[in-house]
Order: sequence, then C-alpha cells, then structure tokens
Amino acid sequence: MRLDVAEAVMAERGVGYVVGDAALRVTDSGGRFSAFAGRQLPVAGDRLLDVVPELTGCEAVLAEIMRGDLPRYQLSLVNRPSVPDGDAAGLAYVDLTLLAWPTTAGEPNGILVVVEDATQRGRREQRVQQQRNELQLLKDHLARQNLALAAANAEGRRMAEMKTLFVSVAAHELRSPLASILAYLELLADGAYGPLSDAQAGALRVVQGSAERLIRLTDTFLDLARLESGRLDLELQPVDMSAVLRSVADEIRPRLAERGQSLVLTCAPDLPAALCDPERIVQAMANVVDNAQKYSPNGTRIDVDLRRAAEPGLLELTVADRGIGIPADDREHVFRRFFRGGEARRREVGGTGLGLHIARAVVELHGGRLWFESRPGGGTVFHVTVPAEEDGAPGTV
Amino acid sequence: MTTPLVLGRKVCLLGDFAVGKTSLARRFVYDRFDDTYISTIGVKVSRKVVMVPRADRVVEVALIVWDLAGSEEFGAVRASYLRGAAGALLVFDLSRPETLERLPAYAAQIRQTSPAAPLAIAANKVDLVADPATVLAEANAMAARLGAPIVPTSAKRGDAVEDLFRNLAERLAGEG
Repeated sequence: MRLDVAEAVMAERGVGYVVGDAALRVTDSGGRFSAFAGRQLPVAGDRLLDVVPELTGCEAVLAEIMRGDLPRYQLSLVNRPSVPDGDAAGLAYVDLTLLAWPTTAGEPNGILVVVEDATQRGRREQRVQQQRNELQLLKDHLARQNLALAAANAEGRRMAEMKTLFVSVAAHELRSPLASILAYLELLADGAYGPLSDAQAGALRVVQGSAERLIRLTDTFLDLARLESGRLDLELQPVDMSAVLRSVADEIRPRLAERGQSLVLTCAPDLPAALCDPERIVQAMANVVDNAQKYSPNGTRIDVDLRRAAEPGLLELTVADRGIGIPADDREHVFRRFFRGGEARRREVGGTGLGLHIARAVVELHGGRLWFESRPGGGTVFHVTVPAEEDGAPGTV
Repeated sequence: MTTPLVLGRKVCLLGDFAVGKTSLARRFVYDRFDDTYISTIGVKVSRKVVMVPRADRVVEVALIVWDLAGSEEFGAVRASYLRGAAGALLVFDLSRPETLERLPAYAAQIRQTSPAAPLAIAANKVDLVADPATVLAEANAMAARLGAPIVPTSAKRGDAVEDLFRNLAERLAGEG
C-alpha cells in the first residue's frame, strides 16, 4: 500500500500508531495519533510510556508481547479526557491494541501500539450504562425503602396486637368482679339482706345503674378487641328484624321519655327474615338508634323504618333524627373508633365513641353496609343493610 | 540524602458501580469533587506522584491509578485490564452495604493476575451514614479475612483519601 493511501485510510478511520523499540523508546508514529494523545506527534527517542501513559505498569505485558509469548493485548474504551478531569461529555474514548513489531534480524522485537478512535461508541455505551446504573440505584433505593416500610408496618402491627391484647385482658378481668357486684346489688335490692329504706333503695339504684354502665363499657371494649383481632364469630340464623327493632325501641324508651323524645317504628309488610347473628345485630341496631337518641334535641321524633332494599337480597333500615346534622368536617370521622363530634364534646353527650365504629364493623361482617346522609340543620339519616333470607319463611312483622 | 528512587506502580480501583471509585481517584489526583454521578465505562487512567521517605532516601512513587468500570457487564474483560497491577483499592459504599458483599470477588480477581499485590479497602461515602458502626464492623471482619487495611473515606469531603493512597504507596515503595 502506498504511504499516502495508508495515511488517508488511517485518517478516515480515526486510527493512529506509535512504534517503540525494546527499550520502550519511540522509533516511529503516524496516522491520527496526535489527535488522541493530546500532543504533537512524538519524535524518535521519546519514552513510549510518556506518550501512552496507560502502558505504565504494563511493562511485563509489553515484555511478553515482544518475546512473542503474548500475541496481542487490547484495552478497549480507554478514557481520554479533553480536559484533565473532564466529565463523560468531554471524554474521548480510544481502543489500544499492542502487537509485536519485528525489527532487523537478530535484534529483539519492538512494540506497535495501534490507537483507534472509539469516542462515538464509548459515548453511546456510556449513556446506556449510565441509565442502567441509575435504574439499578433507584431499584435498590426502593427495595431498601420497602424493607424499612415493612419493618415499620410489622412494628405497628405488633403494637396494635399488644394494645388489643391489653384491652381484651383488662376488660375481661374487670367483667368478672363487676358481674359479682351486680349480682349482690340485685340481692340487696330484692331485700335478701333485710328491708331497705327509700333513701337506701334510691342510692342502690344509682349504684346499680353505674355498675350496669361499667359492664356495658367492658363488653364494648371486649367487642372492639374481638373485632380488631378478627375473633368476632357470627352465628347466622333467620332473624325477625322487626322484633329486633321493637326490642331495641323498648330498651331505649326510658331514655326517650327522660328527654321528651319519641320513636316511631314502621316496618313494611311481608318482609323476609334477615340472615344474622341475633345477638350481634341487636347490638349494632341498638348502637345506631342509641346514637340518634343522643344527638336528637329534646322533644323531637326519631323515625325508624324497615323495608326491602333497592338492591335485591337485602333489607334496609333507616334511622332518621331531627338533630343539627353532622358538620362537614366530622363526616369522614364518624365511624372512626373513639371519635366524638364537636356536638358531643360541647353538650357532654355520654359515650365512648365506639358505638358506630362497632355497629359498622358488625354490619359489614354480615355482608351489609352502614352509611349516613346529613344536612346541616336538617338531621341525619343512617342507613343499614343486612342480608335477607330470601329462600326461608318470611319473618313475622 | 541520595537521588530519589522513582517507581511507577499501577494501582487498580475495584468495586461495584456508583461506590465512588472515580470520585476517590479525582479527589486524590486533582483534589476535586463533583456530586453528579457519571458512570465509567472502560478505564480511566490518571497519575500522581507520592513521595515516600525511607531511612536512606526518598522513594518517588508514581501511582498510575486505573479507575475501572464497576458494572457487571465489564466483569468479563476486567481481568485483562488488571494485568500488571502492583496493588489495588477495593471500594464499597457504606450507605449501600450490599456493595461490601462483592469485595471478595474483586480481591480474587486481582489475586489471580497479581498474587502478591497489596490491597486496601475504602469504606467510602462515610459522610452519608449517620452511624456506620454496624457496617464497619462487618467490613473490618472482611478486611481481616482479605488481609487488607480498611479506611473509612469520603471523596466528597476528602476524608482520609490521601491517607488511603499513601498507605498503598508506602507498601508499594517497600517492595521497590
């Protein structure tokens, strides 16, 4: 090949070369070498390691090549900064190939260093690698965050379980002596230990009322603990809902009378029985009606209606009061445990803030729903749906 | 004192991607730091001379720092780049403890090509970790197994970077 042709090919392909002798001194150079070396073409006698600094420390490799023990040695994508500590955008990349370079007979071989421009390929590979590494870093970061969240969740669950266990044990331990107290109070009230004066009987009724309230509270806490630990089992059976509501109404009547309130119960005819746990559904209905009574002004009426729901297979109960309605800010919290609205706090309405929470949990366990509609000043209507036993005999209404 | 003895020594930086190899090299050679992560492909070679005093003379060790790509894709050809290495720095990221786990594999690679090469471990990015004690305890145990001193470093603040390279240079000068 003619020399000028070889030079033209090397320039076109971005190739340069430098030849060194056995003493690693430059004997020849050409092509595009100076473009990659960041310096003038080396002259004969220059140190090869100064001209190609990447070869420093590779003397053993160079010796192997010159001896013929190693046919070639290649370094791909050697970074050549355009400025001394330039970033990737300012980098040039070269591929270095080292080959033995025969000299005159009897003399040891020299070394040929071929330098090829690999900048385009290098920048392309760098971008791909950069994205791959950044994605992996992000993935690792997310994995670590997920682990931290999982640990926090586990700790939260453990604390919640401990709290539930504590409530359950405390309520259980309180219930036994309270039951005993109530039994003895009843004996006292019945005159089993002698006749009581009117004043004594009156005082005893107050104590009985308080003890009954305490036992209801412990039952509520026990139910909450059972619900939160998923241990509230239902025994489903056909239940006459109108009878349930009459019993709830009877239960609440003394409190209605105290405040001049009334309750009107309307049941649609020919309703099927509900498929419920009788004890639990009474509790849920009582909590909803009790809530309406507490928040209704004195002398107002509460309407309780039972009918078939628009959705097939369900019965729907509505409890409508004529109170001030639930403020917009309170609405999303109504079913939260221990929530007591501003009205309850202002008027010192009794209760734990658990009634509606438990009622909704019980209703949902039955496959029903509990929700409400409320308008400021226009009262509140609570809706409850429970599954109907469509195939069974209709309940007595 | 006699004329300084000049030694050129190739030192390779090995470790997973984004542990801070390039930043350590840049801090050591140019005393600069850039927070932007730019992945290295291939090899970046730089040079810095460290003067190591000896009883009878000063040894001038030209450390030729080979900053090698940390990606797994580079693993297959890494051995070729390690040829002629006089020593190596194994780098891991204290804020990513999983990067410690692969150091024995890097140590094995360098031992294959340069069985006698002294090693040192850089526990890098110490500035990012509030309490590095747990990871360092694990790293110390690994360092003992690999027979390499360990130095907590921060390329960002410059903590112990010079010490890390100087330690290696002194051990390399001892060989000279």
